[in-house]
Amino acid sequence: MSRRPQIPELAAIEVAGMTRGSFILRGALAAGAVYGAGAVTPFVERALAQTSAGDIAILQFALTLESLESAFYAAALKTPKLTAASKKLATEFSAHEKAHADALTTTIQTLNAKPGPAPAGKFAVRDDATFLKVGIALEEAGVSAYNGAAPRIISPDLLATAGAIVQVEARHAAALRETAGQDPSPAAFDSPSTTAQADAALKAFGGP
Amino acid sequence: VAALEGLVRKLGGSLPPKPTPTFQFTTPNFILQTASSLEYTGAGAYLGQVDRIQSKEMLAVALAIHTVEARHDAALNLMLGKDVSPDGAFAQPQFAADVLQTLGPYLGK
Repeated sequence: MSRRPQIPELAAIEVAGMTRGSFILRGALAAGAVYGAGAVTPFVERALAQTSAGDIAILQFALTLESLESAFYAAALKTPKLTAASKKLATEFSAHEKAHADALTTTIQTLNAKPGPAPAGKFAVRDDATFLKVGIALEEAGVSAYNGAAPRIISPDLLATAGAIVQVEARHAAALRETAGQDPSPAAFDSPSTTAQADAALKAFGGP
Repeated sequence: VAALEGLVRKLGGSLPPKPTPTFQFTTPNFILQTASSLEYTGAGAYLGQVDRIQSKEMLAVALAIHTVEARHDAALNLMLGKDVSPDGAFAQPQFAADVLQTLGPYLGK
């Protein structure tokens, strides 16, 4: 079942403090932004040779999630009623979600698949309280979806990247909770969601 | 800690000796900074191992702890007026050498 590299030591090579996976995908994102995804395709394809069809489905789901989050922060930043603290978080998090969506798009294209369309999203952001409420719900959906999907990822490279992304989603959730006067980490373990739960959560925000 | 002890036992391993750290609780700000440093390192240490864990069950547990460590660090950073996500959009993994360097002063090493 588990398809590990033939030489497991290779997966453990650390490049300047990064895992091979996060190094390759970040490098691909940076290079792809300058030279186009086509320029980095052969290199990344080799790195992701172990990727399965299941991995691509997870990447597509993650892209939908990040696109929704990106649209949410863009919509929130148009609301004049955000407090200065919320506006600061929304600005910062908006950039993170955009970077996640770009990285996922590049990765999906590199694997010769077509990135799914960005959903329009529907968010009832009227004021600061609704911004925090919807933001928390969306980020929490993200944390549990990534944590639920990650053990099914075959490619160690993609797993490392999903880990680097989910940690940032959790940071967002905690900061929004604290700003809303809630416990930033309500449980000692973040519970993962099933695929059906994750799909239902996205649908509530206008996902497919 | 209890969950990890259970996992180690289940996998037939023996538990490592409990560390006896020393922390200096001087000012509230210093305590927050120490906590943030520990939580940042903790989150990064879990992240550094996720693609090497063979057991799916252990991976699920590590991920469930990983994001909680990250929440703690983010909450502390917000209190300290620091960046909620100091590494930006992609969190950086921490490896054994980095972790030991951060933890060393608390362990008298």
